[in-house]
Amino acid sequence: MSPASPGPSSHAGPPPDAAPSAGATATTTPPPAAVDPAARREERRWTPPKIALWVGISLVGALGWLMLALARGEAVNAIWFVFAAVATYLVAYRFYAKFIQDKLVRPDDTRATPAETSYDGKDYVPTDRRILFGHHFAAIAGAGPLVGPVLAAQMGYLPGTIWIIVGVILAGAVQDFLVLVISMRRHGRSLGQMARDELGIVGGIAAFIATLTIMLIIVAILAMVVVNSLGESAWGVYSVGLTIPIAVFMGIYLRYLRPGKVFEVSMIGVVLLLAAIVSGRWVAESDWGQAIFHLDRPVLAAAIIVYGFLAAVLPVWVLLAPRDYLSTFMKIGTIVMLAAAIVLVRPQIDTPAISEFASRTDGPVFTGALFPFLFVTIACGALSGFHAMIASGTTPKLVEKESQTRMIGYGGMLMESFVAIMALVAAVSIDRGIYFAMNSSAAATGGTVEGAAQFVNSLGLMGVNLDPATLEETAKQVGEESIVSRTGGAPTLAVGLAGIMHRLIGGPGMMAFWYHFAIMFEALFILTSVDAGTRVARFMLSDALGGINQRFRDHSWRLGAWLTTAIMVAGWGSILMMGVLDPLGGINTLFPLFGIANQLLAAIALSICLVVFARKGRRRSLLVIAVPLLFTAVVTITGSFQKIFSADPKVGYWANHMAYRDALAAGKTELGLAKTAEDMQAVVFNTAVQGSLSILFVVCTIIVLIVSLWRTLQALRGVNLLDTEAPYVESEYFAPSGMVPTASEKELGGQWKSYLAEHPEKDLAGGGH
Amino acid sequence: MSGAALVAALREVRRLARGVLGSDAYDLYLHHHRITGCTHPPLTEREFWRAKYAEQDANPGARCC
Repeated sequence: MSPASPGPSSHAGPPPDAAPSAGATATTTPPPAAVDPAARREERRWTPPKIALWVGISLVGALGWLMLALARGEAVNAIWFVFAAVATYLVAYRFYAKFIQDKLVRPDDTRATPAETSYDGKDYVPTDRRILFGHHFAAIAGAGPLVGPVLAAQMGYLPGTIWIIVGVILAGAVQDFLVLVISMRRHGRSLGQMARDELGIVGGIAAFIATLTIMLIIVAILAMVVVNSLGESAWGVYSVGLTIPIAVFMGIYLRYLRPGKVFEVSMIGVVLLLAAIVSGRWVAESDWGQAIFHLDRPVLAAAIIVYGFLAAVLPVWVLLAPRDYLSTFMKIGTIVMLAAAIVLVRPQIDTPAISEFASRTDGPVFTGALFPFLFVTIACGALSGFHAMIASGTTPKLVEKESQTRMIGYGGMLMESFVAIMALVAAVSIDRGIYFAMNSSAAATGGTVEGAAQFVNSLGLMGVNLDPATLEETAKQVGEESIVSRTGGAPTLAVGLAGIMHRLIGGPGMMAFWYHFAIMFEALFILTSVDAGTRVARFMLSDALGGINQRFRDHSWRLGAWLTTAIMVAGWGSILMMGVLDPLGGINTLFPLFGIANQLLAAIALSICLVVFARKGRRRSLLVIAVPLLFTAVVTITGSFQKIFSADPKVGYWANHMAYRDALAAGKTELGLAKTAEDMQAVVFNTAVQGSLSILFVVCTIIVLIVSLWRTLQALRGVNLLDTEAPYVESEYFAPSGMVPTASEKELGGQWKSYLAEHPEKDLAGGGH
Repeated sequence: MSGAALVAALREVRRLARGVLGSDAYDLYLHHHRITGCTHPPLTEREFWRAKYAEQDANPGARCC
């Protein structure tokens, strides 16, 4: 069935005013808002060249997968990752996403989208689908897909690659696509509002608490990634620190000098940014530079906390908006550049497909078995619940045509998945010994090259014999004092990226530049996420407090804004500080919590989709939602239960908590990686916090799951069928569905062009302005 | 590629880039103002961006991880 044809259960609406053949009269009455279904069917017919094309794509993909899976004991070329991923994405987009569109979503292009019905020139504007794709992608992709795959590389490249690609096709992209669709049909309602509408008060409150705490934990852990990559790095602190004055300069430029010249100021900003990176070497090599910018992690964490508070209470024009422009610019630029570099350089990958740690639970990078912990370590890139907050909200208010949601929602997420694949390639392209030396906690390596080499060699990894001199040499190449125990993923990615990029541009002398370039752009994304996240969390809190004291509802009440911001910053700041000071190495213990939190949010989003589509009368096609929902529920609930109940102190927070408490009670002053009684007390406290958060998340999610299951079963029996969709309004607007318009879309577009020439008042998008 | 086609292609790239970055917000506003037949004069570019950032202050949007 074509996307243009109204599905049986969707509102059929009155027939279009003009038949497609009535070209002569099309100037007085608007042409149809959708391509004639018969013409579209004709276009979709399989022809031999088309069949050959798709057979070809499938064969390329299959070859890619074969090369990745069968490369035993020999190097595999990175280009096979690209072939396997891209071909699989294309097939999934063409066949599976199309299937979802036809059977489950059934978009109706004769139906006006919120951008058309509520057109206001600001929040609701029909936006060119290619622009919206870029917009949406820039909003969903951040540091997450760059970090998770790096940590997951501990288990070899194959488990991560399979999960990123299969996960995105069956889960992540489905979630993004469907949330976009249901929000678009509800006038761009937010996930929280839809949770209340569809799940009722109990489900709504559980979803609210889960969302708010998940947001805090995500901000805290992202901030920790920044702290870990900048700790004891004068170059990094200097160049990332300079982004603040650069952004403020851009803000002033836009407000007072040349308002609205966003592109221009972004170019200036990027040049300044590059200058900041280049001059960093000189600053880091100077004595004064070392004295000012060489900071310990706790100091940096405190600085980020103060920064987070200020950034969230300052007006957006000062810091947030300009840095957002920079971040968008860098994001798209760097990703395109990295893709080109991987294709052109085609690095050899020596990491085994499946490493020794795939079948163990005591990996130094993250603990726990492959199932479920690989699936939570890689959240963004495969399945990220946080996207549901973006897919409901801004994007649905800008969509021109319902049938474009496949390209924007599903396609946008495929793109993010590709970013995750590139991050994985960059991480596995570096020497495995260096990888483990960088990603094992300082408690394990002692923070020295000798300690790191000794530790890594003691892991008994095949083909790994790390020499302390190699670590020193690599650190020197990237312009850092040391790369030992630079955990958190970002530095590893930066080393990988530097290794690939310098072969394309600049040679070995440029490695240090590329390393700091990578650190800079990750920090840029994360700082944007930190203050945007703090702002959103603050608003959620003040809306909730508004129930107690009306004044909190007024967001312009300064004292209230400061108070709620302070509470939220204290929330993520304390988790951050705890992670930074954690004797067991913070990121290793906290990162699973990040993945679990993010995917629990995905479970909530998918639950809401399940209820919505069950209430719309879908039956068998609900499996499209139920299968990934079940999978993510099993993964996250198993993960949470292991974190809560596992008797293995390496995995279970509470087991670890008890082990340290008992040891303290027995008068010991040293246990495992904690070398003093104080450290042991810190472990006791941290594990209690982490354990409690795990319990909170999983309880909220189980409530949401139960409520949604119950509502779905009700809907299947035909009971309690709420219809929360906005009423059908007939569209008087046309735009193509996919990236490239088809012949019939071009023809109809032509009719619209001549119609709009005579009726400029109907031309909402400004006719290719 | 002929000169005119090249100019058209570059113009299209510029339009898409401005759109992704959000640089075209004032143009969109003016367009809205024009076609909806508002009688009051439109905001100036400076006023418009001030109002836009003030609105962003009041309605924050999340950025993803």
